[in-house]
Amino acid sequence: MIEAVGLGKRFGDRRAVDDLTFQVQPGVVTGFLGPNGAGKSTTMRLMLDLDHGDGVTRFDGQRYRDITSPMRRVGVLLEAKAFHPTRTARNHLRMLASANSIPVKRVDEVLQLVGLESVARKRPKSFSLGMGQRLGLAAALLGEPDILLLDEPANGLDPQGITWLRDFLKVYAAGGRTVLASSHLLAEMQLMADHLIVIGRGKLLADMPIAEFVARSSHTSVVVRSPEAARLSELLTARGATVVPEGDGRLSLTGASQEEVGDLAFAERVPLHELTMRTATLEEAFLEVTAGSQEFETTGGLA
Amino acid sequence: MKNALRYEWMRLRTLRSTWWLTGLSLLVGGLLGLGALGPKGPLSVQDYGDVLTGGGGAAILLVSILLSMIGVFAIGHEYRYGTIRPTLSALPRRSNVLAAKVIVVAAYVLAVALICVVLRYLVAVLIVGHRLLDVGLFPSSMARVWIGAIVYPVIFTLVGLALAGLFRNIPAAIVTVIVLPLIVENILRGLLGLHVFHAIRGFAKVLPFFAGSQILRYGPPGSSGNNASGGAAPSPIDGLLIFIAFLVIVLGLSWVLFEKRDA
Repeated sequence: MIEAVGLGKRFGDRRAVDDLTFQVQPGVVTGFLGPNGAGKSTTMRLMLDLDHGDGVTRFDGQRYRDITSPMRRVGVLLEAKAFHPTRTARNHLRMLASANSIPVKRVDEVLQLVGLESVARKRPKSFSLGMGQRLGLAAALLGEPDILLLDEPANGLDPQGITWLRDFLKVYAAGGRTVLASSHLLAEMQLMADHLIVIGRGKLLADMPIAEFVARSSHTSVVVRSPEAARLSELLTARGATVVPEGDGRLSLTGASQEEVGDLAFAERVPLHELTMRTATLEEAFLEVTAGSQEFETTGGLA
Repeated sequence: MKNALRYEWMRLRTLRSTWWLTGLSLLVGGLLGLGALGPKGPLSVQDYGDVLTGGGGAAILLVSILLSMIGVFAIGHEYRYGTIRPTLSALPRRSNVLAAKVIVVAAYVLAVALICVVLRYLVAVLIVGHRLLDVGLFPSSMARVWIGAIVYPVIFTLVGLALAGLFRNIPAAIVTVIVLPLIVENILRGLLGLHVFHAIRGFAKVLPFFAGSQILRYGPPGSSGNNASGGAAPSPIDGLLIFIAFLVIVLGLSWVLFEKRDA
């Protein structure tokens, strides 16, 4: 388990990370989301004591800098292509392995795991972003850690690579391990994560299961179609629901559940031709929650 | 600490630049200037000094500059290629990382500098034969020059390492480590030699690279082996201590910043 308490970081007058407190539980994949410049990478660096700032993070009760062989406890991927261009991929991993007394045979295992065994003895200067990312993942997995901390792990991966990563992380977490992964690919995150931590301008905006995050969105609504839409609308509004007519006798409403609408229609003898839930996408929920929290806002659009 | 040393040794030997800089240092350090050895007549202590240092320390200075690149790369590459974060993720105790870099780089450069000077001596013996042996193994002050030829490149290299840590930038560290001893100090010594600066002339004695090079001094004033420039130079041991003090200051500053800065 990861416990982050009161994380804070200031760059000049700007608070990049502002009193962040959260826990990352084992057994599930936790997604770490936020708009560009929200402070995700800074938060991860603070957690690892790579950046100096406020607060403390404990990995299974220990600060990162106090862990004797940290790669055996926490696997870290912070940026793709963090390697010397002329040191072979295998030597890069051997070097990291030597820092935590990890046997060399594990180097070959992880190279095979991420699909880089054919280029293991090649210099990585010609590696694509995706290959660099795979090498970074191999480094994170070297010590067979119980905790993974991954910043944009899907960045640059091809569709097969993304599918592999998603399946791998789900199985990894299901084995009782802790996974915190940031991503800006929301559709991917929706498939991969079970729990979400969302930040904006360095502040915690949401910390909940992904299903709850999506359900709370105003874009999640009950859709009902009736030949007596006007009367149904009045009845629902009187009971506190917010109703938006969509034409063709269809109403979209929030503030009442599917069951409540069905029971009301039955009691008031209003015929229904359709009664469904429209679930928001993660993207809709994310944009709603982070509205006003973007560090870099666009001002124009395509005509 | 053992893990940090293992990591650093692995880092150093898996870099191509380490090997070509070593090869070049052996080539330059082992051979430069030996062609000028006279074919006839007995050799003097002065000739012996020229053999060891390439004449006034020129070969040792060149070897030092080449080997200092290894020191610059030890920290410079970490920032140039973004490996500082994986390094500190694997070894979160920053002091251990820096200490391992200093120890491994110093030990490696010490070994290469030793091989260089032994190689020079052996090549010179091959060229002039018994005439060099006749002078004795360590005549006069030559034991000191031997030690200087090994120690000077080590301190020089660690200054390069410390500068790379200060600047976190390879070109800036390389330029500084070359320009400071070859240009800046020479200009300052020239200026301080002028009558108008008579009162602060002694300052020339503490120019670190120049002071450090006094450990390689041999021969009478005015000879190729005497770079004391008319007395405005510290003694060889004082000079070495000044050079070491300079290293301690730069490395200490670099160490403090390495601990304080974000990775």
